[in-house]
Amino acid sequence: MNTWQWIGGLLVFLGIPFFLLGTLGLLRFPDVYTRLHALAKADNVGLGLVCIGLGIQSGSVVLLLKLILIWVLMLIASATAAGLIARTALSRGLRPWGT
Amino acid sequence: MTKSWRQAVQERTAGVMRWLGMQQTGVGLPLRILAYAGIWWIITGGEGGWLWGLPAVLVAALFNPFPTTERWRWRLRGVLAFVPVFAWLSLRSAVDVAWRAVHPSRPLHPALVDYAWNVEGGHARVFLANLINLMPGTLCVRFTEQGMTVHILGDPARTIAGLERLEAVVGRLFQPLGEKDD
Repeated sequence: MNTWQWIGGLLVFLGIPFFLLGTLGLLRFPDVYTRLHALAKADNVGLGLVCIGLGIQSGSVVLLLKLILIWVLMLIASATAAGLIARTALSRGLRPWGT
Repeated sequence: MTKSWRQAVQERTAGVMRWLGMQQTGVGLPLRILAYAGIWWIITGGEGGWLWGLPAVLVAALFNPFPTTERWRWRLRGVLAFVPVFAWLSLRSAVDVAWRAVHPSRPLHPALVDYAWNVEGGHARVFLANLINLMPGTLCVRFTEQGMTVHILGDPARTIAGLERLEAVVGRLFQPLGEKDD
């Protein structure tokens, strides 16, 4: 394993806990709004680190760019979906927990 | 049956004509072609396939499925300044929410906060409203002409100060056409 593979592996390793903790938040948080916070934020950073890590490990610039493109598309989809669910929930009268 | 097929065809044709009329084909065309060609190059793994790629790129660049009446373009300096801010805030946001998830007492202090727009332009506002869903402790739950309602997890004063800073960064991403770049 050369240096780049170690760096890539390290990034993947750093990314995994974010998925785990995002899911923990989904289970522990009390309502739809707080759960959206947990999912949208933690998973995106987790996926970013895993994608960049795998791209660096592959040693191919095109593959790295492709994984980053996938991440960016996922960011857009995830931010939009979180916003749509949150706006729909509020407009249908769902009170946020603790307010 | 309330509508004849002839009426339906006429309405559909009028819709398509309106859509064509709203296309601002010239605005940002070179940049769009370049960006879509780059995406094609990436998804084909650098192998080409331009016989299919070139027409697809051109059609995608010429026709915007969601045309607007606003005229603007990306400001390169704004984009370059945005990327590190986005990366740093994303990381902070994920660490923040992860910490709240693992903490035994689950420290959440949710509140709904109204936030009035400072930034002009529908595209900048939509961008900001979606962006804050990925930023520390903020989630857009209502979007109006005057502002947005934000669901927050922490201290309201700090969160709003952060939103104002972020809004300024987002405002510098877009340049209305007809204005000189600074």
